[in-house]
Parts: sequence; structure tokens; C-alpha cells
Amino acid sequence: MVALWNNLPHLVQIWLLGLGKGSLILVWCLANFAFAMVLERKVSAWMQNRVGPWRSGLHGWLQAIPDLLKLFVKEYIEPRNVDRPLFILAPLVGFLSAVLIWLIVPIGPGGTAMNLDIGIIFIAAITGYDVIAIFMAGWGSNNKYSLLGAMRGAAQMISYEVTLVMSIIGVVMMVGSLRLSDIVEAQVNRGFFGWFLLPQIIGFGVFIIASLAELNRAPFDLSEAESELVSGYHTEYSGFRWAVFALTEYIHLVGWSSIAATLFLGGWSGPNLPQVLQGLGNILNGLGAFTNVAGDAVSNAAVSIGFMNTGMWAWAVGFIWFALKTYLFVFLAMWIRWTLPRVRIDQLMDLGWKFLLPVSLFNIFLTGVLRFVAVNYNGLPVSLGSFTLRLLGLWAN
Amino acid sequence: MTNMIGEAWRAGKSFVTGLNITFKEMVFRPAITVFYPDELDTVPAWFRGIPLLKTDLLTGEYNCTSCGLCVEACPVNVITLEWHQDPITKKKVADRYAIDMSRCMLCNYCIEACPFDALVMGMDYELCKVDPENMVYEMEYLLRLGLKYSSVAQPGPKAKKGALPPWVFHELTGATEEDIQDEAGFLGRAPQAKGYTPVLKAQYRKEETVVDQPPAPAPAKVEAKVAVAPAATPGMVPPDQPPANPGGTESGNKDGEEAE
Repeated sequence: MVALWNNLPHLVQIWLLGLGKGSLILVWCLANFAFAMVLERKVSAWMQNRVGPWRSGLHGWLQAIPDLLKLFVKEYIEPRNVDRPLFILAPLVGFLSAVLIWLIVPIGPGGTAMNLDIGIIFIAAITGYDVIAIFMAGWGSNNKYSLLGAMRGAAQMISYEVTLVMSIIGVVMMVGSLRLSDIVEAQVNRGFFGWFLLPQIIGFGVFIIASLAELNRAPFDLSEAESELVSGYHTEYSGFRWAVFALTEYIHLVGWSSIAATLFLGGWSGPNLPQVLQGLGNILNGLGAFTNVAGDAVSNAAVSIGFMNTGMWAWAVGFIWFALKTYLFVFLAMWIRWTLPRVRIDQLMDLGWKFLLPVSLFNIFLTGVLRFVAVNYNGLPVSLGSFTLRLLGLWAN
Repeated sequence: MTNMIGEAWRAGKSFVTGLNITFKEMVFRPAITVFYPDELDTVPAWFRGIPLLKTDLLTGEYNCTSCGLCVEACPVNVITLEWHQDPITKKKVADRYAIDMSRCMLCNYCIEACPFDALVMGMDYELCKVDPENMVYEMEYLLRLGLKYSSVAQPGPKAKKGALPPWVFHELTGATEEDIQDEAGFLGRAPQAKGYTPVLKAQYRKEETVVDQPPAPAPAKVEAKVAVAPAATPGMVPPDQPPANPGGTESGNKDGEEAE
């Protein structure tokens, strides 16, 4: 098999690899959509003391399949005087920009489709296409609600893109690389308390708010504000074209959550079963103070399943941690959506330009100062904690 | 600058408060959903589902005297009433009593207008039909559904002014056709002549004699109920009613009771 693969011409290898990876990413995106959409409906139902979708599948958890099938057979309604190329292309452009995020997200140890060295910049760049998609949909629909929604969406996304990139810069400064796998590796080396969540807490807060705005999600869903504009930029869409917009929304959500998990929660890093058992055994042994039978048994069990530290096992554990962290952020976004009312457009712009941007700039300044201090003092890991301890004279070095 | 930090702090605090509330709702409150086709919700006693005709369980006659007040009261004219006078009993017999439920707005006016407690706002739902023409409910259907709100008519004391009107809470007695106490009684029986004495079924007869001291309490009740009718609507009753009444002695009894 390997020989056969090696004998193939280079061009064929590239194409086959690309097709394979692309198909995997698409399947992964659709699976995430199917889960995230039902999760959204379930979460909203739980928060409103309902049960949500219940009939199809396992207590409604397979609802996405009949939904998509229904949308697939629905009629395409096209208003008069639409700008047809824009109207038809808009959902596809949006879908593309959502799916492309997954190209560079490390979903396990070494598990990226493309390990681009411009990582973060790539994400910021392809997210720009979403603005274009929304504006294409709004302009092409020949409908004032669509156009208003698209205008709002464009204004909002362009404003928040600046803030978003600024909030990421802090992490990039601490790692010294834009590559996402490098960022994860740095967090693996720093350990649990070194995950950029705490050292970059300001950047994290700004990132969460800005990515919510970037995703057009409530409380920033001004571009599809259903109480003001009928449905915003996708008012005139129906059938599978509309479904593609829905797909885009959820794939985007999961994609941005995965990036948040990668940047701030250590991506795929996390303890696997042997490590957990070893730690448990150590605690039972009183950290070596009073070695007893139970602690030894747990430690021996940890050693006996030591093969889980390597190979596919490690990859699977990393993937599970990655999925858990991603869905933590997905849930956070849904939680916020079903809690907060929608903000006004002027409040949105105020928040973006007058608060988040200065704060993220301050974060860059602070990170730079701390980084400078740390580099000039033995290269210790930069964190607010260590910096404070150093100032107080409590740090050993 | 301080203003900005203060506002941010305030916003963050209220944000966390909101998240806390929704999280509590999500985790600690069970869903209040009723899984409708699988399980039916109980509706309150003042639920207005459909106007139904009540039956007097003692004799099986319907309480309706075809006076037409409900037809007059109906704002959307959905009640159809056709009647004739029975030459023997001298009572009006309803030939057709139908409600077009496709246009009925469940305003309760017919029940409020009825002086004989012959109508009740039932709490039956699930009355949908595929064809809207089937939404005209005829008398038989209304009586059959209304049976479970029916009871033996009781000549109660007159309602005090300001008291809760009797039609506000319907009583669900859960009666069936078996509960009609007259041996000759059946659902949809036309009103009997004045002074008609029902022959009760065995089980009811025994109970009546054991519990009640007077020898014939049941007929008295029936007459009392009938007696309210002429008093309330004198114009509706034919003037030749007293001579046609077969049970003259009992009507005398009843008059005495009324006078008290």
C-alpha cells in the first residue's frame, strides 16, 4: 500500500491528498452542523423550560437530518429583479469562508490539514470573505430588509475584525509564531496554568466578544435582527440556498470556537487516562509521604496502560480534548445568545471602537512590557502571575 | 477613563447575573412541556372548548326547552334551532339543534343567556375535522359530549346578587348513558309532560328510598325544575298548560313548595 502510494506521481498524490482532506473536512463540518444546530435548539429549550426537538431520532438529537432533507426538496423562490449571479453565489462564498477555517485548526497532535505558518492571519483573511458573502446576499436580493441587514453586517464585521486580530496579537507575541500548532505546543509546554486563558485574560475577553460580533450571533445579530429586519440578508432565500446560510452560521460558530480553544485553552492538550491515573495514585500515596496499597494499585494500573500515551491513542485523546474545549465555547456562545437581548447598532459600534479596541491595544502594550521584562530576566514564562511575584521579590530566580 | 471602567464593571456584573439566571433555569427547572398527542393536558374548570347540551340524568330528557334565547344571544349566529310543539305533552321538542363550530368564537354568551342550565361550555378539545363542513355539530353529538357534565337537576336556592354565576365553573360529573336513572330514559329524550313521574332503575330507586325520608322526592325535584320555566319565560308557555297537566295533585304540591 505504501509502495503503491510512493509510486504515484507527485501531482496525483497532491490531488488525492487534497480530495481526501477536503472530503474529511466537509464531513466533519456537516457533522458539527448537525450537532451544533440541535444543541442550539436544545439549549434554548432548556433555558426556557422546554424540551426542544423531541420527535426525530434519539429524543430529537437527529433533528438536523430531516431538517436538511426537507430544505433540500423545497422550492427555490426567487424574487423579481434579483442580481442573479450574486444571489446564487452568496451562500457558497459564505460557506467557503466558514469551511476554510478548518483547514488549519489542529484537531489533534499533528492533526492539521495544512500547517500554515501564517495561521492566524489566514483565518482573519478568510473571515473577510464572510463580509463579502453577506453583502452579496443583501445586495443581490433586491430587498430593502436584506440590504439593511447586509449594511449592518458589513459595518459590524469590518469593525470587529480589527479588534479580533488585535486581541489575538497578545497570544502571538507570547508564542512568537502565527502557526496554530506552534501555539498549541507552547501551551503544552507551559502546562495547565500556562494556557493563555489566564495570562491573556484581557485578550480572551475581547476575543470572545469580538468573535460573537464577527459571527453575527446574538447579542450582536443585528444583520439578521428578526424583529426589525425580517431575516436580514437571507430574507429572500429559500430551500437549500437558505440551508447553506444556516450551515455557514453553525460551521462558523464551531470553527471560531475551535480557534478560541486552540488559542486560549490549549487546543488538543490535556491529560490522558494514564496521566490521570498516575496523578490519582500520587494523591492517594500522599505524594510519596505515605505509600499505601490503593495508591500503588492505581499507579500500577497507570503504568500497565502506558501504551495509551503514544500513537493513535494519544491522537484520540487529543481529539477528544479538542472537541470538548470547542464545544465548551459553542455552549458559551449559545448561553450568551439565549441570555442577552440584542444591542443597538450605535451601542455595538461604541463597544467595538471605543472600548474593545483600546482595551485590546492596551493588552498588546501590557503583553509587550511583560514579555520584555521576562526576556530580560532569564526568559521565564510570561504570565501576570510570575510578573507580580517577581515584582514582589517572591520569585526564586 | 474612570467612567469607562465603571461602565465595563457594571456591564460585566449584569452580564454574569443574566448568565447565572439562564443557567439556573437550564439546570434546575424541569421542562413544563406536555407531550401533547401522547398525553393530554388537563384544562381548568373554566375552559371554553365547545358549547354542549346538558341532560337531566333523572329522566334522560335534555334540559333545553327550545326557548331560543341562545340563538338570540349568539353574536355570530352559529346556533341553529328548529322546534315543534308536541301536541300531547305540550312541550317544545327540538328537532334540530346545531352549532357551527367553524365560526363559533367561544364567547360563552349562549351559556350566559340560557335560563334552564341546558348549555355548558365543555372542556373538550381536539374537535378538529378535515372538512370544515363537518364542523357543524348536531344535537346528538352535543348531547353525547355534554353528558359528562350532566347531573340530576337540583332546584337550588336562587343565586345571590354578585355571587359567581353557575356557568363559570362547569362540573365534570363524568356521567355516561348508564347513569340515566329513569328506566324508560334515553339520551336525547324529548321533554316529558308536566308531572311526569319517572320509574327509576333498581339501583337508584333503592338508594333514594334509603337516603331520603319523603316517599317521592325525585318527582318533586323534576317538577320544581319544570316549574321554574314558566316563571322565567311566561310568554313561551302555551296558555292552555294548566288544564292539560295530568298530575294535578303533584303540581299543587310543587306550588306549595315554591310559595315557601
